[in-house]
Amino acid sequence: MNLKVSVQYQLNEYKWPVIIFYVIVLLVCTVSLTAIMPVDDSTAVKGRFGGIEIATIIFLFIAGMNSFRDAFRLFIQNSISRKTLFAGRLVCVGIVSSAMALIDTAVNLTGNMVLSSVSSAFIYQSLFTIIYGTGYNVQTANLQLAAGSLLFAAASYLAASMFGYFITVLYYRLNKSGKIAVSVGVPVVLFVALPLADAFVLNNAINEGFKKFLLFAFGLSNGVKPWFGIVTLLLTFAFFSGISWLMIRRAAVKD
Amino acid sequence: MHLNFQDERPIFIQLAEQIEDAILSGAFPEETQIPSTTEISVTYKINPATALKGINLLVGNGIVYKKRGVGMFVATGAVNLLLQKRKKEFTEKYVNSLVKEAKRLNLSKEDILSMIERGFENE
Amino acid sequence: MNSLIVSDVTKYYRDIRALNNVSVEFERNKIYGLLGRNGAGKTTLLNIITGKIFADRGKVTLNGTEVSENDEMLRNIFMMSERNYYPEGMKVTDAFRWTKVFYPGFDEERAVRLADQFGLGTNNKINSLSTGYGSIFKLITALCVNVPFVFLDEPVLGLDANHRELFYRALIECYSENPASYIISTHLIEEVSAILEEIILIRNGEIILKESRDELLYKYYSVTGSISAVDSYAAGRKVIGADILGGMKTAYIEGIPDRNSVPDGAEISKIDLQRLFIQLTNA
Repeated sequence: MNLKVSVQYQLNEYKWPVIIFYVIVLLVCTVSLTAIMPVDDSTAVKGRFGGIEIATIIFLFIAGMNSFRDAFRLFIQNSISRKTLFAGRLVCVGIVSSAMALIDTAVNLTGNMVLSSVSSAFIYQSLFTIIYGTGYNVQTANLQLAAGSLLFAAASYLAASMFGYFITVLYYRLNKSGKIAVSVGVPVVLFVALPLADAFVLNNAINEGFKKFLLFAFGLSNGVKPWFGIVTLLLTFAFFSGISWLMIRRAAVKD
Repeated sequence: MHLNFQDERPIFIQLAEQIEDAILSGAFPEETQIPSTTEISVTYKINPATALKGINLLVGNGIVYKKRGVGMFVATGAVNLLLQKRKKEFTEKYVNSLVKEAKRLNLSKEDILSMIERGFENE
Repeated sequence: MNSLIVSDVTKYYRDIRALNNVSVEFERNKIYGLLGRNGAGKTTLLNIITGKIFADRGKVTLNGTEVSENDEMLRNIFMMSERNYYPEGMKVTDAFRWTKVFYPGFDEERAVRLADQFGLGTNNKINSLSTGYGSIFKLITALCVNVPFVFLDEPVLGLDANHRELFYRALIECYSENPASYIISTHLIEEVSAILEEIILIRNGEIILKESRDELLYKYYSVTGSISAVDSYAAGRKVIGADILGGMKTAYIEGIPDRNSVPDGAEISKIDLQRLFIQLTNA
């Protein structure tokens, strides 16, 4: 299996998008920070910053949606098997997710230090802290929070990458009517049919049930269990990876 | 340098013949090198295996020989060999068909002989 | 490494049977012509061999191992398609670089030299090349990739006469210097005829013929003359086709000519490959 080559190409496809992403994030951060630098230094908490991870999640989701077709066609042209393509994809996603998780966690820690040295009116928090912070003593559990942030970020990046990938592979395999069915059907079911059913028939059962499930999956239903969230994200990653592979393994190259 | 693909005879035979012509005309003198099979196949746009077949035919007839590590060379005495061969073929190739066609056109032996005399005067 | 063997390959597209129990063996270091009319199944067969699509039945093996989804076997094969599978925005020079990554044996210097000879600007984006130059880029890649089995699907599509000549020369040179099997699928039969060592004919998804070029041409001939003369000669023989112009007729016959029973006014001659192809695939 020519895994090295497979990873090399797919990783190369991420190089510039990731660089541009961080340049933009850096710009946005500096601009917004300098714009809201406080003049007075009262200690009341005036604002929370955080969740750079959300930007990364969206970015990786979109990048995932653009990661299949070009690589698939080029690999087939150069006699690389679909197995190697997919294995390379997983490795590539692993590398990018971990790397960006490290960078983002580092940004969070730096942001924390910078902001707290400037003023305690602003707090910089990682996404993980925002969600699970209540389960920790924020002042003393710094290391645990950092570790949790890192793992949580990496897991969400893995899930986001493969969710986007899954969507693009699905659309690649679907024929025209299938594409229409999904593009129309899924939004209609989610945003029209289910809410209607909820409102008139089921007495909001779906909405409530879904909320309960989300809280449980992310470990927020019975106290604060951060590990639940990480596991859920990893399962999501595994699930979408699995379906993607099933759709790729017998995929024919289209013209 | 062209081969007539409409010709009845296989390509490798035509090729051998053209090389023989070149040897007879002095274009490839004895003990000089002739083009490689690659050069020949590229120029005539034929399969190298066919070119090799043609060359091997010449080798078999003693017209050309292989110098290891260098290439194919015209053998000493090749010109003579070829002249002998062609003289033998002359009767079959030219004389017999001349007679046949002459008979078809109702030309007599005397007609032919005077035509041939005139031909030699004009050449 | 031995031959590339296609065994009983069948492929359906909805109800249409594109390939029907196709079996063929591609030996090492031979130049094959894969000939067939539009829609006969040539590209389908090539696409299955090179892993672009999957056969419904049958398999393709190399050294007894199945080629499908097997990187080690697949790296002995390369195909130049009619289609373009390179990413939007990729330049010729990048493509050469990546080809070297995928095929370490790729002769990048030779590719650049050939590009220069053909007048192909390597800084161009592949997708913006004309039909002719798109073909030129792909055929240069195929000629320099140095693997045992190279498939060329319509390599001279869109090429002017000069470029076609250049291609044939380059092909013969590459074949002489680095012997490999080249399987050429083309509609320009006469041009390429003398370069081919063996001919494979596909008709309606089936292989109807696989023979050495010389033997194949030896098996058929034509008789031309007045209609009556030709008909009287052709009676009882295997006629595969005929052309009529006024009172003259040419019959195409399978077999060895019997020069003694040729009537006066009728003439026997060879059939060229293209004409033979037309007669055999007309039905």
